[in-house]
Amino acid sequence: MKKTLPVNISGKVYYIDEDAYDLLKNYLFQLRNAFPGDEGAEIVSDIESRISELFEARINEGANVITYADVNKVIETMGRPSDLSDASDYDGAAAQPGGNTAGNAAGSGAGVFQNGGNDPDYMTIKVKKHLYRNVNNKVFGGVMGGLATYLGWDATIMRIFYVVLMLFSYFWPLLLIYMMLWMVIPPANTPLRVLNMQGAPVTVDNIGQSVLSSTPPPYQGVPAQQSGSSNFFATVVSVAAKCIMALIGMFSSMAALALFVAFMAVLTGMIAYVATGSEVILQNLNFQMYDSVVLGCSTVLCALMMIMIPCIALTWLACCVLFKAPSASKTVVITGIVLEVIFIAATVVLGTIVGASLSLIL
Amino acid sequence: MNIENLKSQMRKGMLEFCVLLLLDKGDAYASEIISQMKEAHLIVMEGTLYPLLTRLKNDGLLAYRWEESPSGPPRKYYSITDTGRAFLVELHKSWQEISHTINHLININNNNNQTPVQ
Repeated sequence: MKKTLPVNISGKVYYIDEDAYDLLKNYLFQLRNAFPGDEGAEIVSDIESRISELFEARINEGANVITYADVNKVIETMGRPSDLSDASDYDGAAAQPGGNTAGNAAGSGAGVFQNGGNDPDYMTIKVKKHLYRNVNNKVFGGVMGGLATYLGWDATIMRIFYVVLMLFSYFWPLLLIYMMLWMVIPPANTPLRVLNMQGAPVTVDNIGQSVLSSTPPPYQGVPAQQSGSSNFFATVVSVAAKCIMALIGMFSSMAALALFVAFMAVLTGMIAYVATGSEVILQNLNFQMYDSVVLGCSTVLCALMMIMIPCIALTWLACCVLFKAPSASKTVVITGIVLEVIFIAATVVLGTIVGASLSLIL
Repeated sequence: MNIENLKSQMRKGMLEFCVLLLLDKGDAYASEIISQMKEAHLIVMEGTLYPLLTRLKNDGLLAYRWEESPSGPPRKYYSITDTGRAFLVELHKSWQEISHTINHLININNNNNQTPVQ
């Protein structure tokens, strides 16, 4: 069973399967992007009306619904974008049927692919990369992502480099530069801009590679052009939220790191104490009662773990928000909560015991 | 040296000539042009024709009008303009020159080697 949609193609209504609809929409969308401007709109509209005719013929043959196979066939007829720009397949086929004179005539048409499918301008000129903000690869505004794409470097390395540079340069100047770049550089929010950003020539070929495959085109995640003050406000809020998240993440990760170091130090000390039984190591510590050193250390370890777990959770959360890190699975969350509860309980119990024995001694 | 590439380079530009030739014989809408060109093995992918027609139209070589069709969407009938005809005459001349030159070269070859070129 399939869902069917009524669609209006060039003024005629057809019933079309949902998957076929998606395929056709994708195809037209990519054609539209291959042929920019008013002229492109006209070309695509002509192609659409031809598609409408082909569907009409299909309906006249007795079909009730346009299926995926029908759309595929139409795309084959109109030209798979990759075929439109690659004449080699056809050249081979065209050279065979004709003899001397016929071959000449037939051959002369094979150039169609070079001529019609692509605008020659797009084919011959090596497209220069344009600087856009890479909205598909962004932490804040996609400035670093865009620069990385423009320069052909790795975005993550650039970000780390920039942050390090920022830390070594009193923070504010580079932050202001970032803000300015954010405002000045336009976002790559249309497929055309995405291709320009990547320096890929805008041909039917490279936008159309994915038409027949089920994978969505790389720019499908790009939201439609947004404008207006409400969106600006939303952007400001989300940026502010991200900044706060970044601060929280920074502090919590540092805290987690410090706690980890402390944890390891205490653990090492405890192991050393247990292994050697030496009192020298612990003379600098404030524990007066050597018998409960292990108990005391355990308490400290549990307390450290108790604080460390929320810190790690916060760090992870910040990473999720800022770097689109994979969110924690249910198991991880539950394990974390259970561990946290265990450590709180252990800290309380051990603390009580230590406290009780301390008060006994003192 | 890629032979296929060379072939397509050679054929480049011929299609406009063919379209103008077809339309010189009478007005036609895109599907008719397509079917005629398909018959003549001139194109395989229909999608290639539309950008070409639009370009020719925008350059003033073709004009079009809408006509209702008995079935299906309205049709865009293309016709050749006077500019287009002038263009066609030029292209025709040029084609004859090229054809003449090539044939001449082939004939010289034939006379020298006594082997017909396929």
